[in-house]
Amino acid sequence: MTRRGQSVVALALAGVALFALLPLVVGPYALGIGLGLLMWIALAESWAMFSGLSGYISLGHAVFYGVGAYATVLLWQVVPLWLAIPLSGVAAGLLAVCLGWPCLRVRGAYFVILTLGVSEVVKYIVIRTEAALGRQGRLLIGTPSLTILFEAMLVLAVVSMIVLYMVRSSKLGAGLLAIREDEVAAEAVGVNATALKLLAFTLSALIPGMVGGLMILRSTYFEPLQAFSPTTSFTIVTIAILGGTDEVPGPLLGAVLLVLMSELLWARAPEVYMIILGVLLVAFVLFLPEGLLGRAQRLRGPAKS
Amino acid sequence: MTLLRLENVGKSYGGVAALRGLSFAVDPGEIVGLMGANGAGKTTAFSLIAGTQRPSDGEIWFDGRRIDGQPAYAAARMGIARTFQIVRPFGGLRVIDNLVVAALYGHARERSRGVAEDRAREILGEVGLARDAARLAQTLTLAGRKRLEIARAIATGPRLLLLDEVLAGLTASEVVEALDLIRAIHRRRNLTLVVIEHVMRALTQLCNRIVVLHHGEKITEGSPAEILVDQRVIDSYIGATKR
Repeated sequence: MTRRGQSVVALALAGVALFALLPLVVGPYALGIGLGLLMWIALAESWAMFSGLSGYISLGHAVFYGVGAYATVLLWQVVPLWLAIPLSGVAAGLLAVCLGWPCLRVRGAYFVILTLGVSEVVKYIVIRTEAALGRQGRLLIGTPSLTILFEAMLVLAVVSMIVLYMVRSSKLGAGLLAIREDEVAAEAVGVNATALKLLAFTLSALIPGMVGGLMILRSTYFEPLQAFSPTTSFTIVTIAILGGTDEVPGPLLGAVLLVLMSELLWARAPEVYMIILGVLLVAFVLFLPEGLLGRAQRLRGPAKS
Repeated sequence: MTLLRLENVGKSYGGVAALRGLSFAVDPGEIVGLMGANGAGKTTAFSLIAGTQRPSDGEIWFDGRRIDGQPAYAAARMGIARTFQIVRPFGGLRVIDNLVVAALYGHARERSRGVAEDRAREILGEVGLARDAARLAQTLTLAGRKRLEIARAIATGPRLLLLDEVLAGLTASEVVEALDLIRAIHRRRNLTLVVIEHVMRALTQLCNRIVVLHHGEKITEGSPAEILVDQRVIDSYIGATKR
Protein backbone atom coordinates (compact mmCIF):
# COMPACT_ATOMS: atom_id res chain seq x y z
CA MET A 1 0.00 0.00 0.00
CA THR A 2 1.22 3.49 -0.80
CA ARG A 3 1.92 6.02 1.93
CA ARG A 4 -1.07 8.01 0.78
CA GLY A 5 -3.23 4.89 0.91
CA GLN A 6 -2.01 4.15 4.41
CA SER A 7 -2.83 7.61 5.65
CA VAL A 8 -6.28 7.47 4.08
CA VAL A 9 -6.98 4.16 5.82
CA ALA A 10 -5.65 5.50 9.10
CA LEU A 11 -7.81 8.59 8.79
CA ALA A 12 -10.87 6.50 7.96
CA LEU A 13 -10.29 4.20 10.95
CA ALA A 14 -9.89 7.21 13.24
CA GLY A 15 -13.11 8.69 11.89
CA VAL A 16 -15.02 5.46 12.44
CA ALA A 17 -13.62 5.10 15.97
CA LEU A 18 -14.57 8.69 16.74
CA PHE A 19 -18.10 8.09 15.52
CA ALA A 20 -18.37 4.83 17.44
CA LEU A 21 -17.52 6.67 20.68
CA LEU A 22 -19.96 9.52 19.97
CA PRO A 23 -22.81 8.09 22.11
CA LEU A 24 -20.54 8.39 25.16
CA VAL A 25 -20.03 12.12 24.79
CA VAL A 26 -23.06 13.68 23.13
CA GLY A 27 -26.71 13.93 24.11
CA PRO A 28 -29.67 12.28 22.35
CA TYR A 29 -30.33 15.28 20.09
CA ALA A 30 -26.85 15.32 18.61
CA LEU A 31 -26.86 11.55 18.42
CA GLY A 32 -30.08 11.72 16.42
CA ILE A 33 -28.42 14.04 13.95
CA GLY A 34 -25.48 11.65 13.79
CA LEU A 35 -27.85 8.78 13.07
CA GLY A 36 -29.42 10.80 10.25
CA LEU A 37 -26.01 11.57 8.80
CA LEU A 38 -24.98 7.91 8.86
CA MET A 39 -28.28 6.95 7.29
CA TRP A 40 -27.77 9.32 4.35
CA ILE A 41 -24.20 8.14 3.93
CA ALA A 42 -25.32 4.51 3.80
CA LEU A 43 -28.15 5.28 1.37
CA ALA A 44 -26.13 7.53 -0.93
CA GLU A 45 -23.08 5.23 -1.08
CA SER A 46 -25.32 2.26 -1.95
CA TRP A 47 -27.11 4.30 -4.56
CA ALA A 48 -23.80 5.45 -6.04
CA MET A 49 -22.66 1.83 -6.34
CA PHE A 50 -25.38 1.38 -8.93
CA SER A 51 -26.31 4.79 -10.33
CA GLY A 52 -22.91 6.45 -10.04
CA LEU A 53 -21.08 3.59 -11.74
CA SER A 54 -23.66 2.57 -14.36
CA GLY A 55 -25.06 6.02 -15.15
CA TYR A 56 -28.61 4.70 -14.69
CA ILE A 57 -30.04 7.31 -12.31
CA SER A 58 -32.49 5.58 -9.97
CA LEU A 59 -35.15 7.86 -8.54
CA GLY A 60 -36.76 4.91 -6.83
CA HIS A 61 -34.43 3.89 -4.04
CA ALA A 62 -37.03 5.02 -1.49
CA VAL A 63 -38.90 1.84 -2.33
CA PHE A 64 -36.05 -0.29 -0.96
CA TYR A 65 -35.92 1.78 2.18
CA GLY A 66 -39.70 1.44 2.53
CA VAL A 67 -39.81 -2.28 1.89
CA GLY A 68 -37.00 -2.80 4.38
CA ALA A 69 -38.97 -0.86 6.96
CA TYR A 70 -42.09 -2.85 6.16
CA ALA A 71 -40.26 -6.16 6.37
CA THR A 72 -38.79 -5.25 9.76
CA VAL A 73 -42.25 -4.29 11.00
CA LEU A 74 -43.73 -7.56 9.79
CA LEU A 75 -40.88 -9.56 11.31
CA TRP A 76 -41.01 -7.60 14.57
CA GLN A 77 -41.22 -10.07 17.47
CA VAL A 78 -41.45 -12.90 14.94
CA VAL A 79 -37.71 -13.37 14.51
CA PRO A 80 -34.90 -11.79 16.57
CA LEU A 81 -33.81 -8.36 15.39
CA TRP A 82 -30.28 -9.39 14.42
CA LEU A 83 -31.98 -11.60 11.84
CA ALA A 84 -34.87 -9.28 10.96
CA ILE A 85 -32.62 -6.47 9.74
CA PRO A 86 -30.60 -8.60 7.30
CA LEU A 87 -33.82 -10.23 6.11
CA SER A 88 -35.19 -6.74 5.42
CA GLY A 89 -32.15 -6.17 3.22
CA VAL A 90 -32.86 -9.44 1.41
CA ALA A 91 -36.49 -8.40 0.91
CA ALA A 92 -35.31 -5.17 -0.69
CA GLY A 93 -32.89 -7.15 -2.87
CA LEU A 94 -35.66 -9.48 -4.07
CA LEU A 95 -37.82 -6.49 -4.88
CA ALA A 96 -34.91 -4.98 -6.81
CA VAL A 97 -34.73 -8.11 -8.99
CA CYS A 98 -38.46 -7.86 -9.73
CA LEU A 99 -38.37 -4.12 -10.47
CA GLY A 100 -35.01 -4.08 -12.21
CA TRP A 101 -35.96 -6.76 -14.70
CA PRO A 102 -38.49 -4.54 -16.55
CA CYS A 103 -37.05 -1.09 -15.64
CA LEU A 104 -33.47 -1.70 -16.74
CA ARG A 105 -34.57 -2.16 -20.33
CA VAL A 106 -34.91 1.57 -20.81
CA ARG A 107 -32.28 4.26 -20.41
CA GLY A 108 -31.81 7.91 -19.63
CA ALA A 109 -34.80 9.98 -18.60
CA TYR A 110 -37.13 7.02 -19.22
CA PHE A 111 -35.35 4.97 -16.59
CA VAL A 112 -35.43 7.86 -14.11
CA ILE A 113 -39.20 8.35 -14.50
CA LEU A 114 -39.89 4.63 -14.50
CA THR A 115 -38.05 4.02 -11.22
CA LEU A 116 -39.96 6.87 -9.60
CA GLY A 117 -43.20 5.48 -10.99
CA VAL A 118 -42.76 1.89 -9.88
CA SER A 119 -41.64 2.94 -6.41
CA GLU A 120 -44.89 4.91 -6.09
CA VAL A 121 -46.86 1.90 -7.33
CA VAL A 122 -45.27 -0.31 -4.68
CA LYS A 123 -46.06 2.34 -2.07
CA TYR A 124 -49.75 2.30 -2.97
CA ILE A 125 -49.82 -1.49 -3.03
CA VAL A 126 -48.53 -1.47 0.56
CA ILE A 127 -51.05 1.23 1.54
CA ARG A 128 -53.89 -0.83 0.04
CA THR A 129 -52.66 -4.00 1.69
CA GLU A 130 -52.47 -2.36 5.08
CA ALA A 131 -55.93 -0.86 4.61
CA ALA A 132 -57.32 -4.25 3.61
CA LEU A 133 -55.80 -5.72 6.77
CA GLY A 134 -57.53 -2.99 8.73
CA ARG A 135 -54.26 -1.46 9.89
CA GLN A 136 -53.96 2.26 10.49
CA GLY A 137 -50.23 2.33 10.98
CA ARG A 138 -48.28 -0.03 13.21
CA LEU A 139 -46.70 0.80 16.53
CA LEU A 140 -43.51 -0.92 17.64
CA ILE A 141 -43.00 -1.13 21.38
CA GLY A 142 -39.72 -1.98 23.05
CA THR A 143 -37.38 -1.07 20.20
CA PRO A 144 -33.61 -0.88 20.83
CA SER A 145 -32.04 2.26 22.26
CA LEU A 146 -30.79 5.11 20.11
CA THR A 147 -27.20 4.15 20.93
CA ILE A 148 -27.65 0.63 19.58
CA LEU A 149 -29.36 1.91 16.42
CA PHE A 150 -26.58 4.46 15.98
CA GLU A 151 -23.86 1.81 16.20
CA ALA A 152 -25.75 -0.48 13.82
CA MET A 153 -26.17 2.38 11.35
CA LEU A 154 -22.46 3.13 11.63
CA VAL A 155 -21.77 -0.43 10.55
CA LEU A 156 -24.08 -0.05 7.54
CA ALA A 157 -22.51 3.27 6.55
CA VAL A 158 -19.00 1.80 6.72
CA VAL A 159 -20.02 -1.34 4.84
CA SER A 160 -21.69 0.72 2.12
CA MET A 161 -18.48 2.68 1.62
CA ILE A 162 -16.36 -0.46 1.52
CA VAL A 163 -18.76 -2.05 -0.97
CA LEU A 164 -18.60 0.96 -3.30
CA TYR A 165 -14.82 1.01 -3.05
CA MET A 166 -14.49 -2.69 -3.78
CA VAL A 167 -17.04 -2.78 -6.59
CA ARG A 168 -15.45 0.25 -8.23
CA SER A 169 -12.11 -1.48 -8.55
CA SER A 170 -13.56 -4.89 -9.43
CA LYS A 171 -14.42 -6.53 -12.72
CA LEU A 172 -18.07 -5.70 -12.07
CA GLY A 173 -17.14 -2.04 -11.60
CA ALA A 174 -15.14 -1.95 -14.83
CA GLY A 175 -18.15 -3.35 -16.68
CA LEU A 176 -20.55 -0.87 -15.08
CA LEU A 177 -18.33 2.10 -15.93
CA ALA A 178 -18.15 0.89 -19.52
CA ILE A 179 -21.95 0.68 -19.61
CA ARG A 180 -22.13 4.23 -18.26
CA GLU A 181 -19.81 5.48 -20.99
CA ASP A 182 -21.32 3.61 -23.94
CA GLU A 183 -23.55 0.59 -23.52
CA VAL A 184 -23.35 -0.53 -27.16
CA ALA A 185 -19.55 -0.44 -27.12
CA ALA A 186 -19.54 -2.21 -23.74
CA GLU A 187 -21.55 -5.09 -25.19
CA ALA A 188 -19.21 -5.19 -28.16
CA VAL A 189 -16.26 -5.98 -25.86
CA GLY A 190 -18.16 -8.76 -24.10
CA VAL A 191 -19.99 -7.01 -21.26
CA ASN A 192 -23.38 -8.63 -20.62
CA ALA A 193 -25.02 -5.32 -19.79
CA THR A 194 -28.42 -6.71 -18.82
CA ALA A 195 -26.99 -9.12 -16.27
CA LEU A 196 -24.50 -6.62 -14.83
CA LYS A 197 -27.08 -3.88 -14.40
CA LEU A 198 -29.49 -6.24 -12.66
CA LEU A 199 -26.76 -7.52 -10.36
CA ALA A 200 -25.64 -4.02 -9.41
CA PHE A 201 -29.21 -2.77 -8.97
CA THR A 202 -29.91 -5.67 -6.63
CA LEU A 203 -26.69 -5.18 -4.64
CA SER A 204 -27.45 -1.49 -4.27
CA ALA A 205 -30.87 -2.27 -2.73
CA LEU A 206 -29.60 -4.47 0.11
CA ILE A 207 -28.24 -1.79 2.43
CA PRO A 208 -31.12 0.67 1.86
CA GLY A 209 -33.45 -2.16 2.93
CA MET A 210 -31.52 -2.61 6.16
CA VAL A 211 -31.35 1.15 6.70
CA GLY A 212 -35.14 1.31 6.38
CA GLY A 213 -35.42 -1.44 8.97
CA LEU A 214 -33.22 0.43 11.45
CA MET A 215 -35.00 3.74 10.90
CA ILE A 216 -38.42 2.25 11.54
CA LEU A 217 -37.10 1.00 14.87
CA ARG A 218 -36.06 4.58 15.56
CA SER A 219 -39.43 6.13 14.69
CA THR A 220 -41.29 3.17 16.28
CA TYR A 221 -44.25 3.86 14.05
CA PHE A 222 -44.83 2.48 10.57
CA GLU A 223 -46.99 4.41 8.19
CA PRO A 224 -46.52 3.60 4.48
CA LEU A 225 -46.86 7.16 3.19
CA GLN A 226 -43.90 8.12 5.34
CA ALA A 227 -41.81 4.99 4.96
CA PHE A 228 -42.10 5.03 1.16
CA SER A 229 -41.90 8.79 0.79
CA PRO A 230 -40.23 9.70 -2.54
CA THR A 231 -38.44 12.49 -0.64
CA THR A 232 -35.94 9.80 0.39
CA SER A 233 -35.09 9.17 -3.28
CA PHE A 234 -34.89 12.88 -4.04
CA THR A 235 -32.59 13.48 -1.08
CA ILE A 236 -30.26 10.67 -2.15
CA VAL A 237 -29.93 12.19 -5.61
CA THR A 238 -29.44 15.65 -4.07
CA ILE A 239 -26.57 14.31 -1.98
CA ALA A 240 -25.04 12.78 -5.08
CA ILE A 241 -25.35 16.06 -6.96
CA LEU A 242 -23.74 17.95 -4.09
CA GLY A 243 -20.83 15.62 -3.51
CA GLY A 244 -20.25 13.59 -6.64
CA THR A 245 -21.31 10.12 -7.58
CA ASP A 246 -18.77 7.56 -8.55
CA GLU A 247 -16.20 7.45 -5.79
CA VAL A 248 -16.52 6.87 -2.04
CA PRO A 249 -15.76 10.43 -0.85
CA GLY A 250 -18.42 12.00 -3.12
CA PRO A 251 -21.61 10.79 -1.42
CA LEU A 252 -19.88 11.09 1.96
CA LEU A 253 -19.12 14.75 1.34
CA GLY A 254 -22.60 15.38 -0.04
CA ALA A 255 -24.28 13.78 2.98
CA VAL A 256 -22.21 15.80 5.46
CA LEU A 257 -22.97 18.98 3.57
CA LEU A 258 -26.69 18.31 3.32
CA VAL A 259 -27.11 17.32 6.98
CA LEU A 260 -25.05 20.29 8.10
CA MET A 261 -27.02 22.75 5.98
CA SER A 262 -30.33 21.26 7.04
CA GLU A 263 -29.41 21.59 10.71
CA LEU A 264 -28.13 25.13 10.37
CA LEU A 265 -31.00 26.38 8.27
CA TRP A 266 -33.83 24.39 9.75
CA ALA A 267 -33.60 25.96 13.18
CA ARG A 268 -32.71 29.47 12.05
CA ALA A 269 -34.93 29.94 9.05
CA PRO A 270 -37.70 27.38 9.15
CA GLU A 271 -39.86 29.29 6.64
CA VAL A 272 -37.28 29.55 3.89
CA TYR A 273 -35.21 26.45 4.66
CA MET A 274 -36.55 24.34 1.79
CA ILE A 275 -36.32 27.30 -0.58
CA ILE A 276 -32.65 27.85 0.20
CA LEU A 277 -31.90 24.16 -0.25
CA GLY A 278 -33.75 24.24 -3.57
CA VAL A 279 -31.79 27.24 -4.83
CA LEU A 280 -28.53 25.61 -3.78
CA LEU A 281 -29.47 22.46 -5.64
CA VAL A 282 -30.24 24.37 -8.83
CA ALA A 283 -26.96 26.26 -8.47
CA PHE A 284 -25.05 22.99 -8.14
CA VAL A 285 -26.72 21.48 -11.19
CA LEU A 286 -25.91 24.58 -13.23
CA PHE A 287 -22.40 25.38 -12.04
CA LEU A 288 -20.99 22.22 -10.47
CA PRO A 289 -22.65 19.32 -12.27
CA GLU A 290 -19.80 16.96 -11.39
CA GLY A 291 -20.21 17.66 -7.66
CA LEU A 292 -17.70 18.98 -5.17
CA LEU A 293 -15.46 15.95 -5.44
CA GLY A 294 -15.48 15.95 -9.22
CA ARG A 295 -14.54 19.63 -9.28
CA ALA A 296 -11.79 19.14 -6.73
CA GLN A 297 -10.28 16.35 -8.84
CA ARG A 298 -10.46 18.42 -11.98
CA LEU A 299 -8.65 21.28 -10.30
CA ARG A 300 -5.97 18.93 -9.05
CA GLY A 301 -5.16 17.60 -12.50
CA PRO A 302 -7.11 16.65 -15.59
CA ALA A 303 -5.14 13.52 -16.44
CA LYS A 304 -5.88 11.79 -13.16
CA SER A 305 -8.90 9.66 -12.48
CA MET B 1 -11.67 -25.01 -42.51
CA THR B 2 -13.50 -21.71 -42.71
CA LEU B 3 -13.65 -19.45 -39.68
CA LEU B 4 -16.61 -17.32 -40.72
CA ARG B 5 -19.37 -18.20 -43.14
CA LEU B 6 -22.43 -16.21 -44.16
CA GLU B 7 -25.21 -18.06 -45.98
CA ASN B 8 -27.92 -16.06 -47.72
CA VAL B 9 -27.93 -13.45 -45.01
CA GLY B 10 -30.51 -10.68 -45.31
CA LYS B 11 -31.60 -7.77 -43.22
CA SER B 12 -34.58 -5.55 -43.79
CA TYR B 13 -35.90 -2.62 -41.84
CA GLY B 14 -39.63 -2.53 -42.30
CA GLY B 15 -40.00 -2.95 -46.03
CA VAL B 16 -36.51 -1.72 -46.90
CA ALA B 17 -33.91 -4.39 -47.53
CA ALA B 18 -30.46 -3.24 -46.39
CA LEU B 19 -28.90 -6.56 -47.27
CA ARG B 20 -30.10 -9.43 -49.51
CA GLY B 21 -28.80 -12.98 -49.84
CA LEU B 22 -25.25 -12.23 -48.82
CA SER B 23 -22.94 -15.25 -48.80
CA PHE B 24 -19.21 -15.34 -48.34
CA ALA B 25 -16.65 -17.22 -46.29
CA VAL B 26 -13.42 -16.26 -44.56
CA ASP B 27 -10.56 -18.66 -43.84
CA PRO B 28 -8.35 -18.34 -40.76
CA GLY B 29 -5.55 -15.84 -41.27
CA GLU B 30 -7.13 -14.14 -44.27
CA ILE B 31 -7.66 -10.42 -44.71
CA VAL B 32 -10.94 -9.94 -46.56
CA GLY B 33 -12.19 -6.55 -47.67
CA LEU B 34 -15.81 -5.45 -47.85
CA MET B 35 -16.23 -2.81 -50.51
CA GLY B 36 -19.15 -0.80 -51.79
CA ALA B 37 -20.64 2.66 -52.01
CA ASN B 38 -22.41 4.31 -49.09
CA GLY B 39 -25.56 2.40 -48.22
CA ALA B 40 -24.34 -0.80 -49.89
CA GLY B 41 -24.83 -2.74 -46.64
CA LYS B 42 -21.25 -3.10 -45.41
CA THR B 43 -21.79 -1.89 -41.87
CA THR B 44 -25.06 -3.79 -41.68
CA ALA B 45 -23.14 -6.97 -42.48
CA PHE B 46 -20.73 -6.19 -39.62
CA SER B 47 -23.54 -5.55 -37.19
CA LEU B 48 -25.11 -8.90 -38.05
CA ILE B 49 -21.83 -10.79 -37.64
CA ALA B 50 -21.00 -9.04 -34.36
CA GLY B 51 -24.49 -9.56 -32.96
CA THR B 52 -25.31 -5.87 -32.68
CA GLN B 53 -28.29 -6.68 -34.90
CA ARG B 54 -30.20 -9.84 -35.74
CA PRO B 55 -30.48 -10.92 -39.40
CA SER B 56 -33.95 -11.15 -40.95
CA ASP B 57 -32.95 -14.35 -42.73
CA GLY B 58 -29.99 -16.56 -43.52
CA GLU B 59 -27.36 -18.14 -41.30
CA ILE B 60 -24.04 -16.99 -39.88
CA TRP B 61 -21.48 -19.57 -38.78
CA PHE B 62 -18.34 -18.91 -36.76
CA ASP B 63 -15.83 -21.63 -35.96
CA GLY B 64 -18.40 -24.35 -36.68
CA ARG B 65 -21.14 -22.79 -34.55
CA ARG B 66 -24.21 -20.95 -35.70
CA ILE B 67 -24.12 -17.46 -34.23
CA ASP B 68 -26.80 -15.38 -35.94
CA GLY B 69 -29.18 -13.82 -33.45
CA GLN B 70 -26.70 -14.11 -30.59
CA PRO B 71 -26.29 -10.99 -28.47
CA ALA B 72 -23.23 -8.82 -29.10
CA TYR B 73 -21.53 -9.70 -25.81
CA ALA B 74 -21.74 -13.42 -26.66
CA ALA B 75 -20.11 -12.81 -30.04
CA ALA B 76 -17.32 -10.85 -28.34
CA ARG B 77 -16.74 -13.69 -25.88
CA MET B 78 -16.53 -16.17 -28.75
CA GLY B 79 -13.74 -14.11 -30.26
CA ILE B 80 -15.41 -11.67 -32.65
CA ALA B 81 -14.26 -8.11 -32.07
CA ARG B 82 -15.35 -5.05 -34.00
CA THR B 83 -14.56 -1.40 -34.27
CA PHE B 84 -17.22 1.20 -34.93
CA GLN B 85 -17.24 3.43 -37.98
CA ILE B 86 -17.98 6.40 -35.75
CA VAL B 87 -15.62 5.65 -32.89
CA ARG B 88 -17.21 4.88 -29.54
CA PRO B 89 -14.49 5.19 -26.90
CA PHE B 90 -15.37 5.04 -23.21
CA GLY B 91 -14.66 8.76 -23.14
CA GLY B 92 -14.81 9.35 -19.40
CA LEU B 93 -12.40 6.50 -18.64
CA ARG B 94 -8.64 6.48 -18.90
CA VAL B 95 -7.26 5.09 -22.14
CA ILE B 96 -5.85 2.05 -20.34
CA ASP B 97 -9.17 1.35 -18.62
CA ASN B 98 -10.82 1.22 -22.04
CA LEU B 99 -8.65 -1.81 -22.73
CA VAL B 100 -8.83 -3.33 -19.27
CA VAL B 101 -12.58 -3.81 -19.46
CA ALA B 102 -12.20 -5.43 -22.88
CA ALA B 103 -9.50 -7.78 -21.58
CA LEU B 104 -11.63 -8.73 -18.58
CA TYR B 105 -14.86 -9.39 -20.47
CA GLY B 106 -13.85 -10.35 -24.02
CA HIS B 107 -12.63 -13.63 -25.47
CA ALA B 108 -9.41 -13.32 -23.47
CA ARG B 109 -11.32 -13.12 -20.17
CA GLU B 110 -8.20 -12.30 -18.16
CA ARG B 111 -8.31 -13.63 -14.61
CA SER B 112 -7.50 -10.48 -12.74
CA ARG B 113 -7.30 -6.73 -13.15
CA GLY B 114 -3.53 -6.89 -12.79
CA VAL B 115 -3.15 -9.33 -15.67
CA ALA B 116 -5.62 -7.31 -17.74
CA GLU B 117 -3.60 -4.15 -17.12
CA ASP B 118 -0.36 -5.79 -18.20
CA ARG B 119 -2.03 -6.95 -21.37
CA ALA B 120 -3.53 -3.50 -21.94
CA ARG B 121 -0.13 -1.82 -21.59
CA GLU B 122 1.42 -4.22 -24.05
CA ILE B 123 -1.28 -3.48 -26.64
CA LEU B 124 -1.06 0.27 -26.07
CA GLY B 125 2.63 0.03 -26.80
CA GLU B 126 1.89 -1.85 -29.97
CA VAL B 127 -0.53 0.78 -31.31
CA GLY B 128 1.58 3.71 -30.16
CA LEU B 129 -0.60 4.94 -27.32
CA ALA B 130 1.67 3.94 -24.44
CA ARG B 131 2.27 7.53 -23.38
CA ASP B 132 -1.45 8.28 -23.33
CA ALA B 133 -2.40 5.40 -21.03
CA ALA B 134 -3.44 7.63 -18.13
CA ARG B 135 -5.29 10.23 -20.19
CA LEU B 136 -9.06 10.32 -20.46
CA ALA B 137 -10.06 8.76 -23.76
CA GLN B 138 -12.15 11.79 -24.74
CA THR B 139 -9.03 13.96 -24.80
CA LEU B 140 -7.41 11.99 -27.66
CA THR B 141 -7.29 13.30 -31.22
CA LEU B 142 -9.36 11.53 -33.89
CA ALA B 143 -6.33 9.55 -35.03
CA GLY B 144 -5.68 8.61 -31.40
CA ARG B 145 -9.26 7.56 -30.89
CA LYS B 146 -9.13 5.39 -34.00
CA ARG B 147 -6.04 3.68 -32.59
CA LEU B 148 -7.82 3.25 -29.29
CA GLU B 149 -10.78 1.70 -31.09
CA ILE B 150 -8.45 -0.89 -32.64
CA ALA B 151 -6.54 -1.40 -29.39
CA ARG B 152 -9.72 -2.01 -27.41
CA ALA B 153 -10.91 -4.55 -29.96
CA ILE B 154 -7.56 -6.36 -29.77
CA ALA B 155 -7.70 -6.33 -25.98
CA THR B 156 -10.71 -8.65 -26.12
CA GLY B 157 -8.28 -11.25 -27.50
CA PRO B 158 -10.23 -11.86 -30.71
CA ARG B 159 -9.80 -14.50 -33.40
CA LEU B 160 -11.77 -12.47 -35.92
CA LEU B 161 -11.39 -8.69 -36.06
CA LEU B 162 -13.90 -6.56 -37.96
CA LEU B 163 -12.47 -3.15 -38.86
CA ASP B 164 -15.07 -0.60 -39.94
CA GLU B 165 -13.46 2.30 -41.84
CA VAL B 166 -10.62 2.80 -39.43
CA LEU B 167 -8.79 4.88 -42.04
CA ALA B 168 -11.61 7.31 -42.77
CA GLY B 169 -10.88 10.87 -41.75
CA LEU B 170 -7.13 10.29 -41.36
CA THR B 171 -4.49 12.31 -43.19
CA ALA B 172 -2.41 10.65 -45.90
CA SER B 173 0.53 10.02 -43.60
CA GLU B 174 -1.75 8.74 -40.86
CA VAL B 175 -3.27 6.28 -43.35
CA VAL B 176 0.17 4.87 -44.13
CA GLU B 177 0.91 4.48 -40.43
CA ALA B 178 -2.45 2.89 -39.75
CA LEU B 179 -1.97 0.39 -42.59
CA ASP B 180 1.41 -0.61 -41.20
CA LEU B 181 -0.21 -0.98 -37.80
CA ILE B 182 -2.99 -3.21 -39.12
CA ARG B 183 -0.49 -5.40 -40.98
CA ALA B 184 1.71 -5.68 -37.92
CA ILE B 185 -1.22 -6.65 -35.72
CA HIS B 186 -2.40 -9.22 -38.23
CA ARG B 187 1.04 -10.79 -38.45
CA ARG B 188 1.84 -10.79 -34.76
CA ARG B 189 -1.49 -11.90 -33.40
CA ASN B 190 -2.36 -14.53 -35.96
CA LEU B 191 -5.67 -12.80 -36.60
CA THR B 192 -8.31 -13.04 -39.26
CA LEU B 193 -9.51 -9.67 -40.52
CA VAL B 194 -12.56 -8.41 -42.33
CA VAL B 195 -12.09 -4.80 -43.35
CA ILE B 196 -14.55 -2.18 -44.55
CA GLU B 197 -12.79 0.67 -46.26
CA HIS B 198 -13.52 3.50 -48.59
CA VAL B 199 -9.87 4.20 -49.33
CA MET B 200 -9.59 1.96 -52.41
CA ARG B 201 -5.86 1.82 -52.60
CA ALA B 202 -5.60 0.86 -48.97
CA LEU B 203 -8.04 -1.98 -49.46
CA THR B 204 -6.25 -3.39 -52.48
CA GLN B 205 -2.90 -3.21 -50.66
CA LEU B 206 -4.17 -4.87 -47.54
CA CYS B 207 -6.53 -7.63 -48.63
CA ASN B 208 -6.16 -11.11 -50.06
CA ARG B 209 -9.71 -11.03 -51.27
CA ILE B 210 -12.43 -8.43 -51.69
CA VAL B 211 -16.20 -8.82 -51.57
CA VAL B 212 -18.07 -6.07 -53.41
CA LEU B 213 -21.56 -5.03 -52.33
CA HIS B 214 -23.99 -2.90 -54.27
CA HIS B 215 -27.42 -1.90 -53.00
CA GLY B 216 -27.41 -4.66 -50.40
CA GLU B 217 -26.28 -7.44 -52.71
CA LYS B 218 -22.94 -9.05 -53.49
CA ILE B 219 -22.01 -8.33 -57.07
CA THR B 220 -18.64 -10.01 -57.14
CA GLU B 221 -15.77 -11.40 -55.10
CA GLY B 222 -12.14 -11.91 -55.95
CA SER B 223 -8.51 -10.88 -55.59
CA PRO B 224 -7.76 -7.13 -55.64
CA ALA B 225 -6.37 -7.45 -59.16
CA GLU B 226 -9.55 -9.11 -60.41
CA ILE B 227 -11.81 -6.62 -58.66
CA LEU B 228 -10.04 -3.59 -60.06
CA VAL B 229 -10.74 -4.61 -63.65
CA ASP B 230 -14.25 -5.98 -63.09
CA GLN B 231 -16.67 -3.94 -65.20
CA ARG B 232 -19.54 -4.31 -62.69
CA VAL B 233 -17.37 -2.93 -59.92
CA ILE B 234 -16.21 -0.05 -62.06
CA ASP B 235 -19.81 0.76 -62.97
CA SER B 236 -21.26 0.49 -59.53
CA TYR B 237 -18.55 1.83 -57.33
CA ILE B 238 -15.62 3.45 -58.93
CA GLY B 239 -17.68 5.04 -61.66
CA ALA B 240 -20.11 6.36 -59.16
CA THR B 241 -17.56 8.04 -56.95
CA LYS B 242 -14.97 9.16 -59.46
CA ARG B 243 -15.08 12.80 -60.36
